[in-house]
Amino acid sequence: MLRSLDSGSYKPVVIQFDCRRWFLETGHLDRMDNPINDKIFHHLPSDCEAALEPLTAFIEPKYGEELLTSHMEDGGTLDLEIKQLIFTHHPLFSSEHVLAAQLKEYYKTYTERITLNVTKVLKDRLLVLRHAYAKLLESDPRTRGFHGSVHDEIDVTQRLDIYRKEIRSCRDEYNIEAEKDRVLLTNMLRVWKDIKNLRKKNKFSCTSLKLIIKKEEVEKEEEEEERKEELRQDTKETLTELEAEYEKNLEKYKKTLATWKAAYKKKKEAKKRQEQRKSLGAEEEAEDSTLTTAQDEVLLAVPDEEKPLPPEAVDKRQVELRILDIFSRTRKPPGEPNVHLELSLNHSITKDNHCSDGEKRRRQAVSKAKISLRILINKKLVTQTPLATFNNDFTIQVNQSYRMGLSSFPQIITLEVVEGSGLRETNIAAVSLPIPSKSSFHKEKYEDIVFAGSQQVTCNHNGTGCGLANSEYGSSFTKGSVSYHLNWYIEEEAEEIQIDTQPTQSLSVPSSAMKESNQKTTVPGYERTHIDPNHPGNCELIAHLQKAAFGLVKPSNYFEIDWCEGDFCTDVELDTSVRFRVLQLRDKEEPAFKNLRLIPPVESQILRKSLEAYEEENLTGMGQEESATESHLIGIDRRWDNVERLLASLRRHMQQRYMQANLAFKVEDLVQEERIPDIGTIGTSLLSVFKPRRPLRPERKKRDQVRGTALGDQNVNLIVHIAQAFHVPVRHESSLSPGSSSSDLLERENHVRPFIEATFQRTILRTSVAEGPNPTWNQQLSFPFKAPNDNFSPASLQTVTDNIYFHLYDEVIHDMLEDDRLRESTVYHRIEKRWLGSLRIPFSTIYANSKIEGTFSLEEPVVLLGYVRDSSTSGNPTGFIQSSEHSKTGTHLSIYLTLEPTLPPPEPFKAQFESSEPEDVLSASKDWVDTLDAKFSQRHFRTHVLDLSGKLVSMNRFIRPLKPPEELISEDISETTRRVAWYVSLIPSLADMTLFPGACDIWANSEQFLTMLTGDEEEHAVLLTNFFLHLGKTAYLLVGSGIPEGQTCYVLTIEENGDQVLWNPSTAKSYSAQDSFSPLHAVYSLVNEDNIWANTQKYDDPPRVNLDVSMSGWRSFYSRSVPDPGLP
Amino acid sequence: MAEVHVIGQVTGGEGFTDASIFCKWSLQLGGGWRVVEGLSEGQTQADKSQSGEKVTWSHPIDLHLSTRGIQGWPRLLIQVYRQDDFGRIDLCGYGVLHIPSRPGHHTVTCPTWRPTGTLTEELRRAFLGGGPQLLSAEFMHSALERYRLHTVPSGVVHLELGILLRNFEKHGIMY
Repeated sequence: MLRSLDSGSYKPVVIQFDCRRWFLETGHLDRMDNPINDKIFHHLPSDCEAALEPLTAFIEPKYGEELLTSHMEDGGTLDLEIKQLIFTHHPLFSSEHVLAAQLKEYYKTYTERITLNVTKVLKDRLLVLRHAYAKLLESDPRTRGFHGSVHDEIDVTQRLDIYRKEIRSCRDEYNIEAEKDRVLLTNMLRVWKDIKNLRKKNKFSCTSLKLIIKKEEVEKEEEEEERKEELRQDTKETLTELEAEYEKNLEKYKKTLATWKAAYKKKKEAKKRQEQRKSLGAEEEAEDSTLTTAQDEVLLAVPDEEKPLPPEAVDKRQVELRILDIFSRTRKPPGEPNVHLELSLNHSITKDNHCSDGEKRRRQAVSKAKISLRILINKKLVTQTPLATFNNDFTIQVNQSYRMGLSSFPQIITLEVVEGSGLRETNIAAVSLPIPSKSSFHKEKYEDIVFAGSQQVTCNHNGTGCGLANSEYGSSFTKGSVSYHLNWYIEEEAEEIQIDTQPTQSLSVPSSAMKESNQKTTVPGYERTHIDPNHPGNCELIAHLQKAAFGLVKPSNYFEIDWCEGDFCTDVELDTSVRFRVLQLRDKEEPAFKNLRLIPPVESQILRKSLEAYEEENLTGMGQEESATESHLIGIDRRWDNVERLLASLRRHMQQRYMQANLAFKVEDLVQEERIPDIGTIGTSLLSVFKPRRPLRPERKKRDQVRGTALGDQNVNLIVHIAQAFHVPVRHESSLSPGSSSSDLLERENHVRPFIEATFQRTILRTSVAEGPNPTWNQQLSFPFKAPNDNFSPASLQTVTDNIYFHLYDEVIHDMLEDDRLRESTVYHRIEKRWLGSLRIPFSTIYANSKIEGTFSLEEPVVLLGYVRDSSTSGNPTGFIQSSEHSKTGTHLSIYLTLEPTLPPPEPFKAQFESSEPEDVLSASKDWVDTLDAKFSQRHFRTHVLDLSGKLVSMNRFIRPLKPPEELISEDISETTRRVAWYVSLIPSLADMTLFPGACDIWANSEQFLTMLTGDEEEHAVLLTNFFLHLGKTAYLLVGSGIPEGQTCYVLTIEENGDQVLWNPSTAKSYSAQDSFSPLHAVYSLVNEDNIWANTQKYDDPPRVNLDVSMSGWRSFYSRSVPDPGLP
Repeated sequence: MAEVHVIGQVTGGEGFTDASIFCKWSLQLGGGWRVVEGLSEGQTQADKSQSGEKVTWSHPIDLHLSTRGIQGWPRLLIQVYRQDDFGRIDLCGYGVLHIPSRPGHHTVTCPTWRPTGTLTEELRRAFLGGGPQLLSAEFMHSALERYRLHTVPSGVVHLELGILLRNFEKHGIMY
């Protein structure tokens, strides 16, 4: 086998390397004269190789962009098909069953032997060898009296020798095999006889087995002749062999005898000398040489060797007897018919009522017994096959296949055979399946695995029981085999291109696991089931077991030096190293570690706290944490804590959901390509030369977006262009103190000197001072923008929560100079800034809209002491802003904000979302939106939005009357309305984008909104609409576009007197629909409890839109053809 | 507990056919190794050489590995594919490259090979595209199975790798 090629094979080379034996005395390499052999060798595939699958396959060329396969899952999908379960012993076996099982076992080996036909092969080989030997003997030059060269002679003798040896070994082998055949045959016949006897004795039969014996008559004389000839040949061969041996032994004997004789003689002489010396006495002692004395003593000390026995002469008679004995054991006697056995299953089984009581009860027990198989992976229950009862022959047809998706590579797959169900179930046996390697492609080949139990069971009926040492039939334990098919499920595409680059960690697992499982299952089974070690099918198993016994088993399908030699540390140390953990987590972009810059190189310097906190968080569930922290936080703190936690979990959830979509890059993200001018663009650019020039009304050029990595080394600036302000309050005449009138000479004409101070990310910039209540600055401020961790990816930009603030101040200059005489040479002023109002724009709005342009109303103090709004001076420089009542209400500021270079806003998420809405409604919604979009490309229409669970939900489901808090309700309905709006506006506002980076525009329902306590305009608007509806108002959720938010939601109420009021839910401000100064500047659609209407009118700015949905300018979504499906 | 940094690039290849060639590489580690940071596999862009046979990828490799011992020293498994004029992809070569174990800057080349098929398969490959591929990438580096393959040499992939070792001398590894 290939597997046996383990590390042992290269060792000897290393050991022997030291000496000079590789060289001859001449200094040349000690090698064969001519290493080139002129014989032709053909690389024959050996038996095991023929069964191997090919390593390569012809693959058609493939269109593919996504060749790089990511390995998200380590596990894969396992297909387990269980075909049948066969018991070879079970406590409910009757004695007949036991015998039948034995017979079946024998029959199986019998058929296997028949198909392999080893005996026949060996016999033929023996014949051929003998023939060749005889031929060679004939052609032997010596026998023919012809003297060839010496070389020839040597060659022939050598060859004869080899032949003799081969014949001998072949004969022995043949004898063994033939004996096996005989034994098997007699065994089968014996068992069959037993069964027949048992059936006769019992007067019933409970198995359907029937052994059909076919006899083939043979010529007795011929066989006898053959046998005689064979006998003669065998005897002759044996005799020659024995004689040769005898001669060799005789030679040896003669030699040993000679040496023995010499030794004996010497000893005798020595003895004689010693005796002489003793008789002479002590007088002459000195004279005699002490040397000989010592020698004699040594000689005498050597114990007498036994006299070698002459080898036994070859006794021809005895040899013949022995060969006869062998023949009687291995060959059938001449004249005995050839026997062919066949096992059939058509013996009729005796009906129940003809059986004895014990058998009846046994059969009842059998019919009650329920068997099922459990599949366990890594000792966890995966599934259980349905309960099944036995067939008569104790087999169970399962025929089930299971597909199991695994998250990690399985360590061990176990099948458990379970009997009974519910409380009375017993685990009979368990067996581990070898885990197939992922690269094997066995198709539809069932494998059998043997299981064995270890319980002792006695029965009070005819069942034999099991594990009973002293009973005739029940001595064996419960055992059987399962035939199954286990392989990895491979998808069709994956099969075509196998670019499988799993790291070896997982590669090493299958082999080691296989080793483990093999040992576990087979070793206990081996002892009990007595596997035939000579059976060719078992040789792999036996070899494996032998190796296992010596502890030699090694996962050998990949190269590996000694597992633990020279290791620096253990695996556990490596995996628990804090530094590596932190580095790995940073690499994985875990939120807590993502932005760590420097991780100390020494373990001890690393802050363990954050890692510990992270791990704790991973370990404990949310529920436990809440209960743990509730104890030490009270009131609002606790509430906020909960909100934080909820948000964090939502965020995590969302991130996981949208992670994959974020990974997909587009070509535009990677390649920045200049548009090649074509006829159209050249034409327009040529035409632009002839355009009328309007230097006083410059147009903004469209800029290219900078994407991806190109941003890294650029400075991103936030450009703020402050154009003008309208209706700035002016100083009250009376506030100018009469005393200082002389010193206020500078500002006599202008009642206000406003300037704007803008703040962004700790940078403060200001404009110059302009004059008058309608100042024009036309000034550009540029703020450096610092992204978090210099990371300009959309994901990180979305988390920026900075705001840009604009403050409008009035610069008042006090002249501090007391002495008028110094006025010519000295200036002594005190500059005072007086706050008149401010504006806040979140960065996320700028980022999402890429630019903001418009006129915003400023938040200002409720009372501005010393300032008045001068309506006479508010001459409108721009014609279309009429000085109506509303324009008086506040100061307005015209600004333009953008980022330079333009950062790409996050791509809208285009993936398909699941939804619980009916399919036809969704498709109708798509059609509805598409037709409207085609008509009004500027307006954005939607019918379904994402809720917090990531599902599409129809917008009108968010609207339901909701009771406002008790405290807000007062007698006066208008007061209540104001209070409710104020209440809603107090809930903090945070853009979806910031809240859930990566996923845009998620709508939370009112309950979730009140739990989270943060949300953006749509959540506020939904809540406000719900409250208004409860107050009995006609209220709609208005989806439109406003400044500064961009796309936003307002609430539209229609008062009893027919007034249409727009509410900004985040500021609690209400505007009349006719107000041209309202921040809402486009109306797209209206939503109420029952329906969604799209604005199909020509205009979409609120003053010009007819907000009555029953009129023709609105198109409803739910209609008679598409009814509202109601709640699913 | 030693660390290895592998910083470098898949510079390019030469000796392949003059279609668009790209390269997939992946890191193969022994059991005692962990990837701490960096991507352990990658795929280069498809480069069509303008002149000669040299293609340039300059695909960055930046890995931080930690290890328990020196066994199972990391290897790069390299697969080169070609993309023909129809956008179809088929195999050009397989190669295995040991990451150099001496710290410093190394310019290494990885010769590649591809399995050959029967005569008909080769003819089809030559005229219609496609070709024999390994059924599993495992066979690329498994010592046991390779002997059954019939291969022909393909082009060469050039890499530049900078190796930084840490804590190896602490455990008596000399270099």
